[in-house]
Amino acid sequence: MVTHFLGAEAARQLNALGGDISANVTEIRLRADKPMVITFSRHGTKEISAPYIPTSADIAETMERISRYSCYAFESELAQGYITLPGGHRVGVAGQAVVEGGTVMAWRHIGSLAIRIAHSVKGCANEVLPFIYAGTRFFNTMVISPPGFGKTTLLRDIVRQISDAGLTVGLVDERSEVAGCYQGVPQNDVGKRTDVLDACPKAEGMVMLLRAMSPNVVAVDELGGEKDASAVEQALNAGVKLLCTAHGYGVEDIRKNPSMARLIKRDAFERFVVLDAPGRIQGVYTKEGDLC
Amino acid sequence: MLMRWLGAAAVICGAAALGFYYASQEAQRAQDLLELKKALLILSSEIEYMRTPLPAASLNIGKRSERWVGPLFTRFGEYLAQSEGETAYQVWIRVIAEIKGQAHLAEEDWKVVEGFGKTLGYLDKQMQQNAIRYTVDYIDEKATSLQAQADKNKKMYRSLGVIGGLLLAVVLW
Repeated sequence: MVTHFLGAEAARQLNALGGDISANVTEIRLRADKPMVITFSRHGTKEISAPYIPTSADIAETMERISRYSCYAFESELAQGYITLPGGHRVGVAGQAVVEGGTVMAWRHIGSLAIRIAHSVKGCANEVLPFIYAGTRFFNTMVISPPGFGKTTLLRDIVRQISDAGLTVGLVDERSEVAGCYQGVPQNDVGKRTDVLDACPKAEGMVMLLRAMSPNVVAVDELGGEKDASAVEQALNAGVKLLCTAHGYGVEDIRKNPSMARLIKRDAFERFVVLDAPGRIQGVYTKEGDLC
Repeated sequence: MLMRWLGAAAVICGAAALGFYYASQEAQRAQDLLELKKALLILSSEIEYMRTPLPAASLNIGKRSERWVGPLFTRFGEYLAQSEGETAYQVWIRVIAEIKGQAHLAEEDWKVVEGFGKTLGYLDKQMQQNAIRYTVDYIDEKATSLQAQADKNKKMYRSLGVIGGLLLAVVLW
């Protein structure tokens, strides 16, 4: 669990919640001079404000532990506003940024930490799997949902199941959230035929996998940019199947992104899995927009 | 009479050993500092090229270092990996207190070594490299002067030990 990385008081607050709640914590928010907020999932999403107010120094010390005493090792992630803990838990940061040439280079002061706890839910893909993996055929699939609805969890379980079922999967895990690698070895179960490119940029990673690892399926989390779209096209041209996720409430949202619209137009995706609440699958759609 | 001769021999040998011990102290201190420099240069490479997190980098360095520096980095890496609620500096100081007896450093050296610990844990790559460079520069300067001093004083301490032993033996005869 993440208590190892929190300060003693924050860890105590978390443990004081009791086993059934602390096991279902989905998010911990620490803000300087504001009460610690813990979100957990039990019969829906609930939030409690813990009687602990961290100081700026507490946040700095927590950051030291979260970076495993090695801010230098996570500069590029921090410049993008997050850092990933072993196990795939993502810590978002906010505060006073150091900007050079219009780009965030570092953080002068960090005032807020949002720790999102990754949960492996084995079997959560059972419902969608028959629609995206029929017999030996895998359909190019995009999982669509807003943040916090379980895209990454679903992606992880699809990867695990198709990998164990016989497909070689190349997973580009740019934010180390899916496989939760530690020193290059996945800590989450992503299947026995899955090769993981950890902390590798998506576009470069997809091309590297094509060249080096001969995957049947390339899996990536949070597709979005133009470079990603070009890499997807390369993968499709090479005859490799694709499994990805994207932020949105439905296919129409995805079409608003010009790069993704181009991919949809050329029928890059054969199935769209849409989530409409945390852990709830609203439907699986074909490329024509029909419900499967 | 035989006991007298034996006693005199013991006094001379003891004093000579003391002279040799003092003669080796400065050289030992220089070697201990140079071993730390070697470790810091490995740490610098781990940070620059591999971006290895500090606990793992420390364990790697611990395995590859000798003298007091091996235990220093091995324990530092182990304690960091298990640490709950401590800063890197607090862990560094705890480890130094444990292994201080194994090194031949002077108080001024310990101040620099302890000060280096204050830079661990929160700096970006460039600042961390600067901190390493500062400590390495200190070691270079100190080791050079210690080596020169050791070469100069070596004969003196040894001679003083032997002559002092002889003198004491004559006085006590």
